[in-house]
Amino acid sequence: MTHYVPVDRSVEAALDAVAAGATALTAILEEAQRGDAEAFRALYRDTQPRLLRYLRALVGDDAEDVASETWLQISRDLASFHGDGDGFRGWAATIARHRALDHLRRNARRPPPILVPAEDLAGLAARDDTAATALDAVATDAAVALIATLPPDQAEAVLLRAVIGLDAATAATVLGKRPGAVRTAAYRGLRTLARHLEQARTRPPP
Amino acid sequence: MSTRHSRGITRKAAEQLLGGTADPGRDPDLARLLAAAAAPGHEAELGGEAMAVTAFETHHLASVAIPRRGPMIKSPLAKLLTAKVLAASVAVCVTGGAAFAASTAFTGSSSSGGSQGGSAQPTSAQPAPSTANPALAAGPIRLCRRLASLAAGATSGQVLGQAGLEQALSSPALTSDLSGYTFASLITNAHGSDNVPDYCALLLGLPSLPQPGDLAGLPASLLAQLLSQLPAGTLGQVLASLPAATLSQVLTTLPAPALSQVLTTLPAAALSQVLTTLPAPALSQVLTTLPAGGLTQVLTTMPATGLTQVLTTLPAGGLTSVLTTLPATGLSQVLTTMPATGLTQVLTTMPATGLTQVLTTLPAGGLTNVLTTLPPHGLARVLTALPATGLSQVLTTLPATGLSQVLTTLPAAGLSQVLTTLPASALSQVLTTLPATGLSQVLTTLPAPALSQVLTTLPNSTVSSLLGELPGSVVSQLVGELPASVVSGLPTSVLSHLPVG
Repeated sequence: MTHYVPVDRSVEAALDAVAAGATALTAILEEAQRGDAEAFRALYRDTQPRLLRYLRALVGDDAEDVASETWLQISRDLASFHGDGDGFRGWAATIARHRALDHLRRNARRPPPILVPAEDLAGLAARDDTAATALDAVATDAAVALIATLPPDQAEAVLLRAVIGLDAATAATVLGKRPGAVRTAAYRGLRTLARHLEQARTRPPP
Repeated sequence: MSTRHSRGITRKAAEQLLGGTADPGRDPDLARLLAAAAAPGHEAELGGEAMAVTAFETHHLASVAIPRRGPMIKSPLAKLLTAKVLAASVAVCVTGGAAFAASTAFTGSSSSGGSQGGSAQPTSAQPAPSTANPALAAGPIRLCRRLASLAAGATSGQVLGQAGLEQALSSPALTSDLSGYTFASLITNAHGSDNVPDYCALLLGLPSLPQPGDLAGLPASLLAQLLSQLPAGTLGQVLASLPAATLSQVLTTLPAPALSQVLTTLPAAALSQVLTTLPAPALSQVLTTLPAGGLTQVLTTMPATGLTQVLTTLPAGGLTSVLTTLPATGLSQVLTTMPATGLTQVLTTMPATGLTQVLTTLPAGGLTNVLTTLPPHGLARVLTALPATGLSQVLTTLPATGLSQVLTTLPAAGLSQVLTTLPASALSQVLTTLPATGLSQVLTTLPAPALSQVLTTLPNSTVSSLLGELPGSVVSQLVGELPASVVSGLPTSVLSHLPVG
């Protein structure tokens, strides 16, 4: 299990507020746009893990570097961003995607596929306790790695919707597609994932 | 092959899973997978937080128009800040709060009902930095106040005044209060928990630092921001409280624009105290780091005694660099502020090239003032140190009265050396500029060999006209000292004016 460390209460309270809904995220966003560094910190803590997991599917092990570039741009342009909390996540995802595509162009290649250790996948499928699974860093890595094995359009659609937390329309804007196409890609992705999980569940232990 | 999901997932179920409205019992494997993928942030995922927040603060500072801080915040500084933060080994250990608002809707952070972290706003009655820049200060200021309250054992709602804050930040209890992760961002910002008390004191605008000797432990970029936002009086008190070594370290690590701003913000007396506290190498580095504008303002703000002490402390190289950086008016003001002894020491410390540049930069009025302030031997040392061209330029710049005063002040040996160094054209110009009384005094002061050399250097027409201005008795005295070979070469017009015998 991941070791959790207590955080600054003001940031913690802000993050609890984010959890309580998009309205709170909007309020924190506005604070950050007025220059409050602690509000910006709360935005980072809310959004960075989501972006990092999305980027892992796009650029593999270079995700952290691309995330750093993404945050440099966010910190630079935040004051000029117009929109609410949900819009912010979509904006951040768009920046992350552009930086990732730049990165891929620079390196002229797709990253090697992330390998999912069979036992992680089996553990993911065998768990009965959903909450415990979600608090497990290994499970998170395995889940993101499994999603990253999907065709890119499906992986992106699933991650933008389920991890970044965007609705179909916002995800479509990020990807430059129609919402219907994003729904279809996500649906196909989930169908494939379900099949993988089922196979993992039924695979005999090594 | 299991038949558990043989029907597959429907489009509707997929949409519900992705939108967080799925029935928990349906498609549990997929629900677990998505929950794991969207789980709250783990510590390892937040390693770039300090860099991101620093970049944010830097960009925000750059976008807020505060002219006095403007020049410091440029892209290279942002890069530097980023690099420094990246390099810092102090890790920010935070996690747990990243909320997950997707399908399975649970979070890893506990909602602590009593946390009122944002409520401790600084009140206007409290000392605070003069430019309350929220990006720089709002969060850390709150944290510093909270830390001080904890260390002081203050009850909830009790607001500490300046003395209370100072006492709390100096309290030994502070170390244990800092150990929690609540104050991790302060430790990160200050590059270590040892630096937090001073960091907080500066943020809160306190004139008395808890650990003045350790101030240089704060990163230069942060120090630059903190010192730049202090009001003049507080800044003066803070810098005056530093031991010389710390003061040297602090001032020599500040980037030029911040250094300039800090020094030009100080009132004259505090500025004088700060600069005269610095040992020579640090003083030299500080003054030669300043851009011309800042340097001029600093030196022309200082009172004469402080200025003299500062300039006479500088080693020759630093002194030359400082004086040759000043523009003509600033240089003139600085040199004419100094008393004779200090001025002599300053001018005679510089090497010939620097001295020439300094004297030839001065406007005529300032040059006259400077040279006529020097005592005779100091003046002789200064003028005889100059090479012929520099000397020519200096003497031909002086107006007649100033020139007369300068040359008649020189002792005989110095005067000889000066006049015999000048090339013929400059010598002609100098001597023909002198009024008759000055000329008499100059020529009668010269020992015979020098007088011979001067008169034989000049063209006959000039000798004629010069001596023609003088009373016959003086000409007679002069000619009487000359060897026959020189006398025979004098123009006949001169000789015909001599009294018979």
